[in-house]
This record gives sequence, structure tokens and C-alpha cells, in this order.
Amino acid sequence: MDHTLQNTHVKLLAFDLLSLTPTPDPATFSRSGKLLSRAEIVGTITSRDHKPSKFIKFTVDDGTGCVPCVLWLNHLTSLYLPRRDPSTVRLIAGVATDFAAKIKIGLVARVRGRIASYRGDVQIMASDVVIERDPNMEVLHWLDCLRLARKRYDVVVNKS
Amino acid sequence: MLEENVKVLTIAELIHGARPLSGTSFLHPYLDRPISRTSSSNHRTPLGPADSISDSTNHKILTPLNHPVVLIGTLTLHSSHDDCLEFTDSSSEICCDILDFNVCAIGKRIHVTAWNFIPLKGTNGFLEIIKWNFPESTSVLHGCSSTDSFDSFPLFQSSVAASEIDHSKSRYRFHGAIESVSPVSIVPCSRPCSSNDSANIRGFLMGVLACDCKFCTAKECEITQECHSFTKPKFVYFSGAASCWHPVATKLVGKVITILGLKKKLVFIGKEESQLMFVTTENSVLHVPRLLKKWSPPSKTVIKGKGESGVYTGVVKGVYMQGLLVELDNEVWLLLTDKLRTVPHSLRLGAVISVRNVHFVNPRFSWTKTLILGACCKTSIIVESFSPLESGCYMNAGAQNLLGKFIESLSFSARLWALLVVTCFQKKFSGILLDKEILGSKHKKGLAQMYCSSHLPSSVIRARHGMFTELCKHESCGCGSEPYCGNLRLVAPISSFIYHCEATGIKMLLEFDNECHLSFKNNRYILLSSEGESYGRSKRQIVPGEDIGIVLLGSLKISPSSGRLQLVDMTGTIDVIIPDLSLTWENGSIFEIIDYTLMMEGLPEVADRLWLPKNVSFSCKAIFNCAPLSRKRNLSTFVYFHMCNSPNNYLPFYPCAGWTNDFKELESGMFHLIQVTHKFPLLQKFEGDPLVLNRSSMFVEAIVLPCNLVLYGKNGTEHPTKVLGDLPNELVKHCTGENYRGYVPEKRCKSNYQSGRALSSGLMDDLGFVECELSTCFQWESSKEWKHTHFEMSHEIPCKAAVRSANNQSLVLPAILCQIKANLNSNVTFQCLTAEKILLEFNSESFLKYQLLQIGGYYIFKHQIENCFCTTKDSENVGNAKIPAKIPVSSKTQMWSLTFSTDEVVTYNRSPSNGDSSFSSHEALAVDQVELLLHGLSDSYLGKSSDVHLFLSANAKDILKVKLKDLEEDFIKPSVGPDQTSNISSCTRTTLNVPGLSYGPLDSSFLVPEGNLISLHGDVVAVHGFDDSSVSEHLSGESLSDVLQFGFFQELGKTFCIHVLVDHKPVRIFGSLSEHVYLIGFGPGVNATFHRILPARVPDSFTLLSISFIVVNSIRVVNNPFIDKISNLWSNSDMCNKASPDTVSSGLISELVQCSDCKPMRLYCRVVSVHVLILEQKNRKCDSLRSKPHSGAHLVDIPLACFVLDDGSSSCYCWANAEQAAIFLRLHNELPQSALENSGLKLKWIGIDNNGWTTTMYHLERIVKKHDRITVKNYGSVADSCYQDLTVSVSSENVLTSSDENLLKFIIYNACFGSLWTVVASVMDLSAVRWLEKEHLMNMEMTMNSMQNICATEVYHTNPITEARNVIQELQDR
Repeated sequence: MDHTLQNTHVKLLAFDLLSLTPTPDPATFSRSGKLLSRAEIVGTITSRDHKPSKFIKFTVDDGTGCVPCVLWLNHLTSLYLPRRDPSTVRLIAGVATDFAAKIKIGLVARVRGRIASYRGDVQIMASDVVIERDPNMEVLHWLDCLRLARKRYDVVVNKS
Repeated sequence: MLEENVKVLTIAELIHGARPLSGTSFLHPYLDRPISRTSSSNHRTPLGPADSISDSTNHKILTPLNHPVVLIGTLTLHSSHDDCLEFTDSSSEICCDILDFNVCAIGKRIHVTAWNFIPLKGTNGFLEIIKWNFPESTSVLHGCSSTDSFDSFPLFQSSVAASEIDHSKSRYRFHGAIESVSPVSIVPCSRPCSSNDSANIRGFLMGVLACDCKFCTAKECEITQECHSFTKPKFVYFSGAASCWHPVATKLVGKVITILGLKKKLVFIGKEESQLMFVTTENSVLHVPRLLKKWSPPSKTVIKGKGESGVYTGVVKGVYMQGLLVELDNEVWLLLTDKLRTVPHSLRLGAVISVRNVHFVNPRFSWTKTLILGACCKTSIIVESFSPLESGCYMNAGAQNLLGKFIESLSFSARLWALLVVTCFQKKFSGILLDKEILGSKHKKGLAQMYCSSHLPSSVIRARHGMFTELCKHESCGCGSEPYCGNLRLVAPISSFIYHCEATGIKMLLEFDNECHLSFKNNRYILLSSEGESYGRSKRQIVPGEDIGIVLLGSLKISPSSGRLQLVDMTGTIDVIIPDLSLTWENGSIFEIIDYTLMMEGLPEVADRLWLPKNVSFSCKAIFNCAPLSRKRNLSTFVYFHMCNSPNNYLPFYPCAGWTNDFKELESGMFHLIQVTHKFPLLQKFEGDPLVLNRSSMFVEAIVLPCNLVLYGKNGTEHPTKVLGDLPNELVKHCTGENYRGYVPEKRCKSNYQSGRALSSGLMDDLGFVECELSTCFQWESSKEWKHTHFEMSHEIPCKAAVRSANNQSLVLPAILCQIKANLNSNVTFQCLTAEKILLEFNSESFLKYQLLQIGGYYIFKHQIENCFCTTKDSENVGNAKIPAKIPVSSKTQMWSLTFSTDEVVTYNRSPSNGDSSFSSHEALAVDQVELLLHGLSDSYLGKSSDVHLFLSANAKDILKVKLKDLEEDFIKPSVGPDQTSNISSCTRTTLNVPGLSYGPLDSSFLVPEGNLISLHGDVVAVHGFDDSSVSEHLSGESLSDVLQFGFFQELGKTFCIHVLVDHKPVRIFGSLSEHVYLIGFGPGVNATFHRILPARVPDSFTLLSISFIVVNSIRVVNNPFIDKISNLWSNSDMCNKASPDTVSSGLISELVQCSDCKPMRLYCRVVSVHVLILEQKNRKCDSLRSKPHSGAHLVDIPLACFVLDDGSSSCYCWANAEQAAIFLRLHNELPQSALENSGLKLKWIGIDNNGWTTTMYHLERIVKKHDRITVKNYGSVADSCYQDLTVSVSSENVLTSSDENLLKFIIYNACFGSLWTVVASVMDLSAVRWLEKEHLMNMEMTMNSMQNICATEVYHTNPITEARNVIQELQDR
């Protein structure tokens, strides 16, 4: 398996992302023999489910599919997050709350995060959400996805 | 009982032996004899490695006796000046100090089982008692009449027992802790018993803290050891015989004692103040608890180094200046300058001492970091452990001279400075001046004191009082408050200065080296095209003297070996460049150079790195241990300064000869005017060549202008009007034309040139051997009788002459410039008359004058009958060429430089005009460069730098200019042969024929390059050395022969190729740069004029001849590599990589990994995390030097920034300069309001009218301003923005508030949560990465992943339409 993309936020179109193959490691997925764990998507926000101080669930539609995303807002209460400096945790929690406030249906968002699987479906555990004001950004993203797929993700490195 | 094999030694035996000994066998009973070196150490604290210089100076360990030896004797008090205890036995007595002191031992017989003996001149010696005990037979309490818990000691040896105290007067009792003990002082006092008889009473004061409780205040009460609170300050005066208890009292500081039998006295301090204190009486008894109770003073606040007092314990690393200055540990200086202070004998090199009640002072000197321990009257020194070294004791100095009193009156920082100045003066002038002259005497101030007092502000001088006042009113005496002395600059011995500069320089250059290595790779000059070995790698550094904080003091002299001007003191020499040094300068004056620039250049090697001390800050120790430099570093250091910059260059109190005489010379008389046309370089001697053997003359070619300058003294007898009327005519009358003959019979034709060697040495030798027999027009036959009138006056230009004086004040004198014209009846051609060419011959004595003459400069000679200039022989014709007259210039020949200007404007800021040689132009200086202008004529000091400045009317000046111009043209008109003139180079620059180089007699078939010599002026880009093999690669066969023809030059040194940019056009100059040529600082980056070089047959190539002369006009260097490191890296890659975004092809980070060439690439990516970030407050000084305003007009500089970028294909480290880092960090964007909420920052929003506050930069500036330098490191994830583990550290002492820290972190998170960036970047060179890693990340204990490193050249917001079009294009193309 190719690990070279594991620390990279791969830019995949929704249909591609949703068809990733899970691996025994819940944090890792595979695509054409390459292991992936982080992704970046751009699309229109089509649904939004906000549970303050817990999470916000939203879907991002890039025209090829809808990617379910979740942004956790429970930094201050969660026991599962790694132990960190409380002030940083507060800072991150604050930033996440800001993201949540920006997530509105109809806006074009750039979402980055870890690829996860929830009840058998691929979803994005968002680490950050950037609202793109320029609709052309979506077009550029599509093209970028094509370019990356052609030049990087689909390239089979012959190790021999 | 003593063991059987133990030998008992008497003191007399010990003294008789008179050698340092250590009897410490008892300390090591289990060790085999002989005792090893280490075992002889009695230290509880082992000495560190011999890292200090004084430690390593061969201090042997005391010779240990290899068998146990015991000294048996009695410990007594004695009232000696030395303030010691005494150890006596039946044979003799000896001064001693004792460890584990017990008051009970006083007056008792003790066994000393471990000791050191140090012989002392003039006394019996000194005994250090390390271990001792009471003989078993003796009761410890013997003689102590006391209760169970106390030992009692009558303060007077003869006093009665405590129980018999007469309570009538001496009924007071004191119980408390000893806080401080003053030194023993002598108070003039009249004895109560005999009122007429006054006597001096010795005594000392003990500052104590008493308890206020009822037990203690009760007059007669049993002394109890109850808990007391010692808070009430009181004083006990030990007077008369009781003063012998001083050494004991010193040892008891910090202990609780009781004294009985005291009386109370009101002591008047000064006139108004009075203090009630206890005074010892004959009945006084000291009670010391058997178990000494330690009392520690209430804890003081944090020591800031502003004079707070406290305790310091350290190892003595050096004792200097008769014990006035003690170095503890490392650069902690204990000042023992009080007159009453006695230095304990046991304070020897290697001892561990504890200093109590000492003032901690951080002097904040710019040139060193050090801690001062200032001893005052409260200070006491206790030796905690004796030195095992064979170091000597310090005898207390006797009477105090004026210098001592002066130093004592200063604040502590100033005291250390003054002591260092005194030492420096001693080191610097030890052979030149007597010690008495430097240090002064009891009644006369010395040089050092005069210097110090002229430089010290009045704020550092304290009024000194008597001991009583100082101890009782200690707080008001100023010990505890230290005035700021940070601006005091040190006068360092030159050797220490060079040592320090080299250390700093090598460090800077090595860092610079790394950087250059980077820039060199990126910065490919087409011109350089990898030609051979690069000589130009020599690095240069310029440091302003202000930053060094050291003042230079010394006299000027010419180095006999290099011929360079040097500043000299007894410790060393340093090369100096003084563009405005007067020709009238005389040896022997001492200069003080404050405003200077230090320049270092060289090729530091790895070996230098090894030599490099860890700490490059100046060490005071270096002054005491200054020694001549041991080996030559690969670094040349020189100092550049202007005489006119420091008005008091001369030490005001040091007599300087020369100047006054010079004025007399200049005040009145007639002067000949010359213009220097060429200087012939000093040639290195050929070994065994008889032609040049023992010849060390230097030649300067000049033309004698047909003008004479007549100056009139200020108080001269002749009135200026008279001058106008009579004198010039008289002068004209006396200018004899009879002796002047333009047509000269051919006396001797010296044309027997044998080979090409003539080119190298022919001119000099030939001229040297020509016997000139012809007379010149300047021959004056007898004293006042001038004979002929073949000249007539054509012009008399009245003018004013400003004559420079010693302190740069101008003396304006009336003057006349009289032009002389030949009588046409004479058989002399006009040309020959107007421009008489002469050769000035300088011997080694007058070498400085040779150096100071500048090509194109005007000079005047005084007309004197005895002056050889006026009696010299006429020129001689050799073949067709006319050999100019040779005029010897000795060190006594008076010459002055001359400049012209109009009446209206003094030409200090004259706009440069290219045509005028004396006003040569200079390119505008790039802002990021520091330039040293080496020649007075071409810089803003014009006028100031010349000795004589002539003010002419504008009209007169124009006429004169035209005349001089004509003259120049006449002069350069060919006089060799018409055939050679036709071949004038097409080069547009000034052409000069070769007047001395007679080509005529030479065989034209001989392979000597021909052509006219020209002068080139340009910027040296690089200097390359090359060997024969590399020559062929770069030169065509034809020009190769040129170079090879000059193979003999290679005997002088390596042949070099110098790349020069002349009017933006690259040219090459080949030739040898002999080391002996006076060329300080020559190398890439200098602006130089190459006089009389020969065009080679290859276009734009020239050959440096042996007669060619290189003038370094200015030296440039990019200053401050520390700051500019990254930006340099940046600007260099900018230089080659700067390309419009459209032309740069887009790519992926993953592709960068494979790409090996440094082609820039366009990436669309996001910041994932920050790796490291350094934010700094912008240095204003550096800012002005910078070419690029990095972060706009903001105060935040980002010298180092590394981000992790991710474009979906891979991630990489991206290094960015300040400008791009600010974009990445979105510093110019609005700070989200939530940032302030999230970081807990509360701001006052009202009253800020512009929108500046909303930007991130605004907030960052505020934080950076507080902390100077902020470092943010990410120890966490590089792939997840949220999981960065950011650590923020600041350089300032201010604590970073949590809100500020959070805001900083927020700024970084915010940078990672953004949209796409278009980044134009190229892959960084491995060496660059390694350097960055080594320089920055290793110190920070940061590691880097194996990701690719790129260097961003441009960062901007992605324009989605444009980029999308590009991507479509790209997708279609493939």
C-alpha cells in the first residue's frame, strides 16, 4: 500500500470520496492502492443540523454527490479528545463555534478534515470550514480534482 | 594524643623553610603516600576546569608534605594593620586565617592538623589553618568563665572577670545579631584623661540588629536564648584595644552574640546628625553562645543589579590591581576599592570566598556582560575554603594616591570602568610613558585619571564621608542606588580589541559564509561563469564602533612590513584607514578614536571555528591577560574613521607636537602647486635582483602647475593689498628663465632594455639611475636674489585660503594664486612650460605621504631655498621620451593637500561632476549597503579633508578650471612618437600614454603588448585566481599569449582575473595583486579605479601592469547578516527566479519532490500548519539599511518563518520572508472579532478613529513591541491544523500574558483556516535546508520531517477564474 498521501488533504470529488474503500484501520481508507486519511472538498452546503456545544452535521454537495460532514463542538466536555493545554482547547473550541456559525445552507464551503466512516458511510470529520465567496472557486476545485487525480492519485508508482 | 609518627613542626621551622607548603596529610589518612596532587585539595567545592586564563597561568598546587605534620601553638588576636589572627608558639608567630572558627580557640593552645603555609615578603608568612582541634588534655572551657551555654571573652585582654563589672558606667548590655562589620578605621580623638593630648583611636563599628523584647531591653537581666526577633538596628563601636577583635567580628557576621559592659554614647556624625551607639569599655565582655545561632537577614527582594546588597559566594579566579579587583567565578567582579578595606591574605587565586553585604550591580555596559560586586564599608569577606594553589597573598597597599581617591569617589560601575581604563593605560603605554605619568602620584593627576574624569558624567561621582556616616547613614550614601553608566565606552588595549573583533568577526563571517553559500548557488552571474577558483569568497563585515562600545587609543605609524597605516599601542597594532588624514600629520601624537567603523574580511576556516570562544562578548579578563596574538587568523581587521568626525581626536591633555609648527609653515610664504597624475605602486622586491635590491623608493608622477600660491600670515607684516601689488611681480622677477631650457641636449640615452622585465621594473630603475644634470625652472640661485624675468604674470587671482588646524577649525588667510606664463622669446615650447612633469620620490620614511597622495589631487609645497623641490635638476631626455625630473620627498618635506571652491558655497555637499577629477561622482548607494568611502576627494568630506581649501570667486574658478583642463590635455598629448598615438584605444575613457615606458627602443617584434594605457573606474564584482590550465579555457589563444607573456608577474604572486562592472558593462582585468600593494579591503564589492592598465587583444579585457595603480574608492558590504539572512536568501532567489506568474508553470508539490532544478513553480495550496515562526520588533537602524520594506510600514519583522503547505498532492515546508509570511499569516486582513473573544482579550474600542486596529497586524505589533522577539514553534502535528502544539516564547523579561499568547495562537490557527493561496516557489537547495536547520532549528530543538523544502518567492490570493483557465489548458495539453 502507498502511504505517501496519508498526511495530505486529498482533493476528491464527492462521488470519488464516497466510494473509498475502508481499511481495517478506521482512520484510513484506500483508493487505487493508496491510503488516504484526510480530504478537502468544496461544495454547496445543502443541509445543516446544529447541536450547540455538541456538533454540527452538514452536507456538502459538489455536483457529483453529497458528502456528509460533522464538526465537533464538544472540545470542552469531550473525554475522547487528546489531553491538551486547556487554553488551546478553549481556543479551538471557540474557532469551531465560529465555523458552526458560518455554516449556512446555500453557501459554498471548503471543508477540510479527516475521512471517517459513520454507519458504513464515508463522512468528513471537519477540522475547518472556509466559506468561499467566489463561486468560481468551486470550478477551480473540480479542475484541481481532475488534475490531481490524473497527475497524482491515479498514478501507479511502480516500485520495482 | 598525637600519633607516634606525627611530626611536630614549629613556626620558626616553617618560616625558615620559606616555601609554600601544604600539610594536609591528616585530611587523607587512608591515602597512600605520597599524596597525589588532587588529594591535596582542601576544597569542599572542587575547582572547575582551568577555564580562566589566570587559572591556567602555571599556578602549581601547593607542595604537600608527605607525612602528617602538626603545628602546636596559640591562636591570638593582634592589632596589626593586616587584620589577621595570629598563631604563636614558643619559636615565633605568624599571621593566620582559620576555617571552622570557634571563638573559644582565641587564646588557647590548639593543634593544627591541616594547613597551608604561604611565605610573604617582609613578614613571617601566612598560615591557613584548615583543620585544627583542642589538645585532648585541655578543657574546652578552660578559662571561659561563663554559664553553661555561653563562652565569655573579655574584649580587653587585661580586663576583669565578667562578674566584677563595674556597673556604674558600663552597665549596658546588648543582645542581637551582627549584621555588618566596618573596616578598622582611625578616628582622631582627644583622650578624656588628658585633654591636651590628642591621639588617634583605632576602632570599628559593628552594625547589629537588636531585639525589642522585654528581656533584651531590660538593663540587667539574665541572658536567655529565647526566641528573639532581631529587627532594631543599633551600632556598637569597638574602640581602642577592642579593635583587635575585628577579625573575629568579621567571622561572626550573621551570628547572634551578647556583649556586656557597654556604655552608651551619643556620637555626632557630621555637624547635624547624631547617633546613639554602644561603645565598648575596658569591662566589656563578649558572650558567644556555644552553639552559635545563625541568623539570616530578612529575605531581600529580587536582585536586579541596581545596587541591592546581599551575599555572594564564589571561587577566586583572579586578583588584579593589588587586590582592588577580584574576579569571582566567571566575570563577576568584586571591587575592593575602599581605602580602609583590607584584603584578607587568604583571598588567593583558587580560594572560595563568601562576600557579605556586597552590592550587586549590573553595569549594563554595551561592550560586556558582567556582574559587579561592590564592596562598601559594610562588606565583609570570609574565606570559606583556602586555595590549594601556590598563588600569592596580596599585601595591602599603603598610602593612597590621587587616583585611588578618585576611583573611590565613583559609583561601582564607573569604578570598574575606571579601573579597567587604568589597566588599559598601563598596558597600552607601559613602554612609552612612565608609570607615574599614567597613574599619577599623591599630588599630581595621572593620564589615566585625567582621561577618566573627562569622560565620566558628574552623576557617577559620589561624595564620600567618614566611616561612621557611611555605615550609619548607609542608605543615603548612594551605595544602594547605581546611576546608569551603560554608555561608558571602554578603552581597550589593541590586542584585546583585535582578539575580540576577530572572535566576533569570525562568528559573523562563518554565519555569513553559510548564507553566501546559499546565495552563490542561487545567484548566478553570467559574468562569473565558474572561472577557476574563486578568490572572491572572502567575506566582509562592517561593524560600527558604536556597536562595539570600545574606544581606540593609540598613535599612528606606518607598518614597516606592509606599509600600511596602523594604530599602535604597546600591545598591538591595527590597520587604519583615515581618508582625511592630513599630510602634515606627525608621529607620536596619541589619538582617541571614538567614531569609527570596523571592517573585517577574510576566509574563516574550520580551524577558526574551533578557536572561537563560546562567548564572544568582550571579557574584562582579556584586558588583564592581554597578550600578543598568537597566530594569524584568516581575517584582516581594520578600522576606518575620519579625523574630522571626532573634534577631540587628540588627547586633550597629551602634548601633541607638529601642529603648531605646521601652522607657522603655512601662515605665509610662497607655495608651488602640483597635481598628482599617477602613483607607481610599491613593488615587491625580487629576491636576488640587483636592480631593485635595497631599493624601497616609491614614485609619484605629478605635474607642476604654472601657478604659485602665496599665503599671507594672519599677523604677517605684509598687508594683503601689498601682496596684490608687489609680491607677485617680485616673484615673477625672480623666476629665472635663464636656467630653464626646453631644449635639452641629450646627455645619456638609457635604452638598453634587455627583456620584458623592463616592463616590470624598467621605469623605476631607470629613473632611479638616471643622473639628472639639467636644471629646472624652479631653481633659485641664492637666497633672495631671483634673477630673470622671462616669465610674466598673466593672472593674479586673489583668494582666501582656509587652513585646517589640529582641532579641525579653519584658519582663513588671505592668499593669491598667481599664474606664471613663459616668455615666448624663450626657446621653450609652450607645452613643456605649462605642464612640467615631475616624479616625486618617496623614501621609506615618507611612505605615509606617498600613501596620502591621491591621483588627481592638488598639493602645495612650500618654496624654500634649501628645499630640494626648488633646487632639483631638470628633466632629461632619453631617446624621444622625456624623463621627468626626480624630486626626493623626505619625511621633513612639507606638503599640503589643496582643494578649490567658490566663495559662495563651501563644497562640502557639492554635486558631483564627472569631468572634474577632484569631484568624482558616486553612484547612489543602495539602501541595504554600507559603504566606506576611502578617499576624501570623492566624498562629502570634501573640503574638510584637505589641508588647505582655496576659496575663489566663481568667475576665477571657472577660468582656473579651464586652464587646468587645458593643461591636462596638453599634458596627456602624446610626446612619445606620432606612430603610437594613432593607435588610441577606441575606449571612450581617458587615455594616457606611457611616458615612462619607452617602447621606442624595444624591438617591435618582441612579444610585448602594445597600446595606450587607460584608466578604468568601476565596481569590482569578483576576483578569481586561476592557474595555467584554467587560463586556456577562458581566453583565446591570442590573449592567452598576452597573459603568459606577463608570466613574470606571477612571480610576484598569483595571477588574478578581476571582474569589473564599468558603466554596467562587464570587463576583465588580468594581473597580479601583490600583497605589498597598498590595497586594504580590495575585493568584490569595492569601487575601484584602475589607473594605467593596458587593453588586451580580447575585447573588454585589460592587463594590469606593474606600473598600474589601483585606487580603492569605496568598500561596500551588505550589513548585518543576522537580520538579512533570510531576506538575502530571498532577494537572491528573487534575482534569478523573479518571473511573472504567468510564465511560471503550475505544478504540484509532489512534482517538486522529483524536480531537481531550481525552476520556480506555481502551486495552489493551503497553509496546514506553522512549523516555526519568529516575530521581531523591527530594528529601526536595520530598517533604514534595508532595501525592501518587508511588512509595509509596520513594526513587525518576521526574520524566520516556515509553514507547512498542502496542495492535495503532498505537503512541504515552505520558507517565507517577512513579506510573504505576513501574507500567509493574513496579518493585513481584519482580525475576526471572535479572535478577541476567544483569546480573552479586552480592548477599549472607543476613540480609535481609523480602521488600523481591526487588522491582525495592529494587534501583533502591540505584542511584539512588548516582547521584542517572539518565537512560535509547533511541536505537534504538521498535517492537522487543529492538532498543532504551539509553544510561544519571548525574549523579553516581560511575561507573556495568556491573552496575548492566545491571540498569537489564534493568528496562527486563523492562517491555517483559510482559502487557497497561489504560491510561486522553488525547491531549496539541500545545503540551504541544512543551514537553516543547523542555524535555527537545532537551537530550538526542533526536527524536520522528510518533507521537501521550498522557498516562496510570491504569495497571493488565488484568482479562481485565471487559475481555472490555466488548469483547463494544462489538462487539455496532456
